[in-house]
Amino acid sequence: MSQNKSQFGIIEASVILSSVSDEDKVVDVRSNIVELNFYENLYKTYIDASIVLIDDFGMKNALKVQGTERLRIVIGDANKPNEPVIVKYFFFSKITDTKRMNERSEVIALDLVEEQVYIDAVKQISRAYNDTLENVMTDIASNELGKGTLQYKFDGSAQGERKVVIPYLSPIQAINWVRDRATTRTGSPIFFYSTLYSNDLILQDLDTMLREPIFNDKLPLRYSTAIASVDDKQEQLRPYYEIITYTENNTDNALAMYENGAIGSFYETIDASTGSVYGTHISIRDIVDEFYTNDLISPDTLQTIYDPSLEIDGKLADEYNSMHVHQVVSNNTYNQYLSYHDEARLLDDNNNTFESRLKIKNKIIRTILKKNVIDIAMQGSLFFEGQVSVGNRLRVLFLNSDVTGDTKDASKQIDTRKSGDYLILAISHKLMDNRHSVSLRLTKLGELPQDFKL
Amino acid sequence: MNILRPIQKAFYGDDSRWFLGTVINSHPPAGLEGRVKIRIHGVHNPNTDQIAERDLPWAQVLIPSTEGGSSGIGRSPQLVTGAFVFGVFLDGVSSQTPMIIGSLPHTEMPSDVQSGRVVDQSNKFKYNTGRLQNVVSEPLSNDLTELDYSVSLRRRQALKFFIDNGYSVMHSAALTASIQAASVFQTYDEDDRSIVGIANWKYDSKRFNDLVTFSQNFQPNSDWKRFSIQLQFVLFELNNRFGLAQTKLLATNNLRDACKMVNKYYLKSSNDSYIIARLVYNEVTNG
Repeated sequence: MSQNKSQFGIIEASVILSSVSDEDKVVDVRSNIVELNFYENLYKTYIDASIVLIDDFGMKNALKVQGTERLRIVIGDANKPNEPVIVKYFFFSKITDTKRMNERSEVIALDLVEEQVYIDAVKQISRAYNDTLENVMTDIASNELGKGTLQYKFDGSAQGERKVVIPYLSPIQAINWVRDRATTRTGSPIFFYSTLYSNDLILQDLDTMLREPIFNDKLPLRYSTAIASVDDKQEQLRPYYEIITYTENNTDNALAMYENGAIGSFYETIDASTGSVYGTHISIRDIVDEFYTNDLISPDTLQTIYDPSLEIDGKLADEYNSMHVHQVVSNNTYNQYLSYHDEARLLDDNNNTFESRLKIKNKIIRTILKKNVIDIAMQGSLFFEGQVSVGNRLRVLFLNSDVTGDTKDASKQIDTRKSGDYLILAISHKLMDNRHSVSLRLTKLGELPQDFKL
Repeated sequence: MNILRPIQKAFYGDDSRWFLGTVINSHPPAGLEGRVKIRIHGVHNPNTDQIAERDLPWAQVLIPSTEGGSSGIGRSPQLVTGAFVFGVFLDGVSSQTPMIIGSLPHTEMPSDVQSGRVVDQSNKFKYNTGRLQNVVSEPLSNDLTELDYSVSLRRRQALKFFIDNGYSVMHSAALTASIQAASVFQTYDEDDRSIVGIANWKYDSKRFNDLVTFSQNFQPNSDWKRFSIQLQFVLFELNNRFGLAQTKLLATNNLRDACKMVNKYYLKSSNDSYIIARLVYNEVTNG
């Protein structure tokens, strides 16, 4: 295996031992660390971490006493210690394993969580909000968890201002509940997540993520044994593009999509205040067409979400209602304000309101994101240096399995169906023996653009 | 704890949650007849600083099968303020849509504060009342139809009316100021009958006829010239025929835009009510 050329490593690792009677005691544990892992997830408002270290300073005993000890981790270029890439505080949540080395020391494995998880554990809120869903989320994050929010090219949710009453939930539960209701005008989900590179939470929607440029379009990730023989320059770049392991995860599980009603379903809303019943068929075809219309899938790219020509008993598969969803609302429960459940009343170009069906579209789009999921592992140089995180997109290339094909034209060796521009859903970072490796969970909506050049 | 989702189960009846609550208000605004406002124990924080009365839901109430069960037929629920009720959430654990099944007869006891066992020292409560102290609690029953009414009194009454009906202070100020700019709160003019009422309804138009019908349905022998009836009718129009104006108003996040939306989409006027709205808003928030 090639060496990790990254200059990035742990600059500081300090355990801050709290004490009720004395001042905080800070212990430098950088040299004690055997292994350090971080887990970023697009669906989580916090980073998980775990650490394995040699305990020769009585840390285990201290943890038993307080349970609120913190770890300050600083990661960056060792040549630029004043310009760290990552500065994070973690709380020790539990000891997962211990192994005695000798009479005076042992190896201990611990789970770590960000501070907001600890705060979340002690709070429950029951409060009314009269605001947009994104403002409710940022307000809870700020006032309850002490976290600021960064919004990047975020136009706001389509649901608009409404009345939301939090029914005694922890702050993170409340944020997730509100977040899951918020969508863009196309029904795409909105994410509120934590990354290693900021201590603020990030608020961004799927549509924006899919419109952002590909981070590595000049040097796509590659999974191929054919890149074993390369020149020196390629060798230096190898950590930035070489996929070491690759596994498919629920790929092409179309059956599950049918069963979950994601291909075609019937959605009915019963208004208990008027007795009116409004039902409609919803097809994945409409949603994918909207993806194309809104440039979320490039027009010259084939979607890999469903088979639009599949017929069952002479009828297109998406015309069936494979699931009937019946929901009940009671309009005007909160006077003139829409409630959490009410469908957004959107305005068309002529200022006419129309029923949006965003709740069910959002459910289908979330299912779509689980369709083409792959897991890959590679060295981590690209990630710390480029501050690549969840929500970014990476171009990934796979060779096709046709060994008899044209071997001179490299582009014809590409498996266009498996290759594509993938969205990062989760990243697991591993720092061990001065090396940084990552495991990624990725998803995509379409094949490679047809104008793609190798 | 169940995982909360916008669509919890495919069939709404598979996810239910029952509750006990107390009726806080049994006089719903027009359009919500038969509903009561409730505070649900274990869901709605009893601290009014966290969940004020205006933020509580107007719950639908089940009636016995011996009633007609159709609009305008049969009797209405008779729950009164203070009733202790049992019901289910139509949306399960999300707990946003309560429906009352019945009430529990109970013997009311004085609260700890009322009985003197606990002294109410809630500073937050004092802060909140202080913030709105300039909104007079003048009852709307004092809304005589005489022409020598007080503009400032009606302005305060209108502002309180909109706040009590769930609008934010900003949106209430915009509605109040725009109505003042349009009509100076004059409910009718003996000399000029072409335009009548606080929202400048055209005499003999469909909207005006609706106002007259509304007043007759609202209370027996009620007069459409009464200020309180006309305010109720404004609310009714915003919740129904002028839903677009409502949507546009609620989407605004500053006073200037809020005034523009009320004038453009509800009052159909080119008035600029921002300066009045600013005064109204400052009266409340700087109190």
